[in-house]
Amino acid sequence: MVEIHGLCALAIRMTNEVYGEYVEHRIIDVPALASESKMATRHMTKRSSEILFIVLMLLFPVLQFILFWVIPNFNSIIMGFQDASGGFTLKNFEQFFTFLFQGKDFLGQHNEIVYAIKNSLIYFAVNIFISTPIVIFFSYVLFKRVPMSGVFKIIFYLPSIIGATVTTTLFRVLLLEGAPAYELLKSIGFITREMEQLGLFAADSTAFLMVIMYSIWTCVGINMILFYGAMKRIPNEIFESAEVDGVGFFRQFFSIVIPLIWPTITTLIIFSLSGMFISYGAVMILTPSVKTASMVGWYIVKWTTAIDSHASIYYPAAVGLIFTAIGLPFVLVIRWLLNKVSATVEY
Amino acid sequence: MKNRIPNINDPMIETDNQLIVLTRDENKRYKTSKWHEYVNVWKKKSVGEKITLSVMFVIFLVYGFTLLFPLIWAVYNSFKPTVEYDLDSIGLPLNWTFENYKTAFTTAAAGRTNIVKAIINSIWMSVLSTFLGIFASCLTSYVVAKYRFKASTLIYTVAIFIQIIPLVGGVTGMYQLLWGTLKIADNPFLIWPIWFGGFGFSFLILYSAFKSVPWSYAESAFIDGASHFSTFFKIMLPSVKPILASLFVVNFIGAWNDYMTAYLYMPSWAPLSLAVYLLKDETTRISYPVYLAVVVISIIPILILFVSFQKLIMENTTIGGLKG
Repeated sequence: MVEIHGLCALAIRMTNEVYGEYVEHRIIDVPALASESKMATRHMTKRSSEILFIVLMLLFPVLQFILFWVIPNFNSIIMGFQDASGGFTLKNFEQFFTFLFQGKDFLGQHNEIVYAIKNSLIYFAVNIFISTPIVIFFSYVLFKRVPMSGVFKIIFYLPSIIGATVTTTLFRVLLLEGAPAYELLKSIGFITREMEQLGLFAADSTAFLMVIMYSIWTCVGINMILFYGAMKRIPNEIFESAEVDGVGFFRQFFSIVIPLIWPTITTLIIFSLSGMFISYGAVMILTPSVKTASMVGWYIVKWTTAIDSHASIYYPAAVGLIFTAIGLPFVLVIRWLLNKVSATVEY
Repeated sequence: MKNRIPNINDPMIETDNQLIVLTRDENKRYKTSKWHEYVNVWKKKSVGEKITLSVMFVIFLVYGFTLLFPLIWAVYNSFKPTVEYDLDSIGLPLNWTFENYKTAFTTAAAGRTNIVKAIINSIWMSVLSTFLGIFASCLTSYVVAKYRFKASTLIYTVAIFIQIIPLVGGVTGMYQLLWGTLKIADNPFLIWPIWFGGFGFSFLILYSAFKSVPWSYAESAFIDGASHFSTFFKIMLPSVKPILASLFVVNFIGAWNDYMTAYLYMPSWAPLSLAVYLLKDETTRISYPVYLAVVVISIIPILILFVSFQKLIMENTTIGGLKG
């Protein structure tokens, strides 16, 4: 969840506008000169200057979009079917399924892609079933004005401000042998001999666990601000009358807050879902070379940037295509399901 | 004092959607009244709620400590001599020293990356990418929000659609395009067009901002003979200034922390966010405290920015959702 771009959820409203029931019908806000059939010619020049303006304003951004979004994405589809000489081939897909089912890799060792898929699914599940509930409940506690809530909000937001490389690095350094967090774990008997020899970030048994722990540790951040904001928008009268009726802290949470901020929750789930095979959490910094701790997004980036290695850039393109094909219908179906249970009121 | 132009850091309160700037005395009184109000709110809470909130308060204290401790730990260890750190990385330094910072600035390097270059790269990359992205989004969002033409609905739908669909392999296409076809990767003079994106999140936010600006402003400008361009630059852009300001700060922080773009497309021009990653192995082999000095140096600018614009950043994130 950490790597969902902070601003993404700002678009919640607009997302619902188009995809939800609130399809916006644009009201004419352009000077409605057409109806005032005053001077047709004057109108013509007006309209043409307007068209010129629209074209000039959009020209460069649209070209940029075509060049840096449409072409690369379209090309990545074609690349999946290409070999190094540029000819058509299905070799990349064959290779992927061989790796997947025969349990070997380019180097013939670990079956990285199997771990990558498993880990991406685990990461997503942790996001949805552990991190998101924590964030929502924490936001609710802040919203209910726990003492020092202002200070807590700032502290919890810090990981989102400081940036992933620094927080991840500090997390890693603190868990190296001799550092405070490592010694704490050692004192409660968590560290086994394997971990002691290899370190927590290289041992197969703990490497991915560390990635998960990091993601839970920093999950509150920006999402807290979003949920807190959504709760703030619920009219206060609802809570006042609930309190008059003797509705307690937890019932207010489950019966009022959750249904009313449901659109925010669903949007974050959708973003998390569509990022499932793209995101790689803290893998790049914590465990870049541990194959059992890989994730699909990292697997693709790794093979894309490793130009001189055993794989060509066409192999990760094919892998990406396969996961897009799996992910896209999945995202659309889940989105449809979530919106079915959506409340009719949004805050 | 009365006619002073309000500063973004002045104490302000919001009433009826208007921000009122407070004098120092008023602010003091406001804060005490806030405290009384809080005590009253707390008194009214049921016993169950008080217990739950107290338990959560303790949990928050512990969690908050785990978030703050690494930073504090990094700061005091960056002043510790390496020998001392190797013996004890938990306690405060016995001999405080600035040596680590000197070493970080003079010798810490990996390949073409060093801390001074990284600072310079961070600055120009964050400023340029933030500025270009917001400028492009202003152009597109204004036209789509305020003018009616055939493609406008399509553009809006596409802008939302690209946020949701998971294009997993897109990075391979981009990598080949920038390194292979266009050969603009790793070149600071040619890379900037990738930042001129006008259909991202800034587009959606500015779209709703422009939507809420009355069109009559533009109409009266047209009557006065203003062109579409001057109306856009002189009237419409200034009217969304607050949104632009907060977008700039939020996007700047995002750009400052972005290590992936540089990792993939500008590896020889690593900004601080990436330098922290690249310098790790080389530096820690020699000294952890020096590396922690690098880490501390890299977060100082962003912390200053956060402290100065804390209110703007945290409230903008909330307000953004409100607008739509």
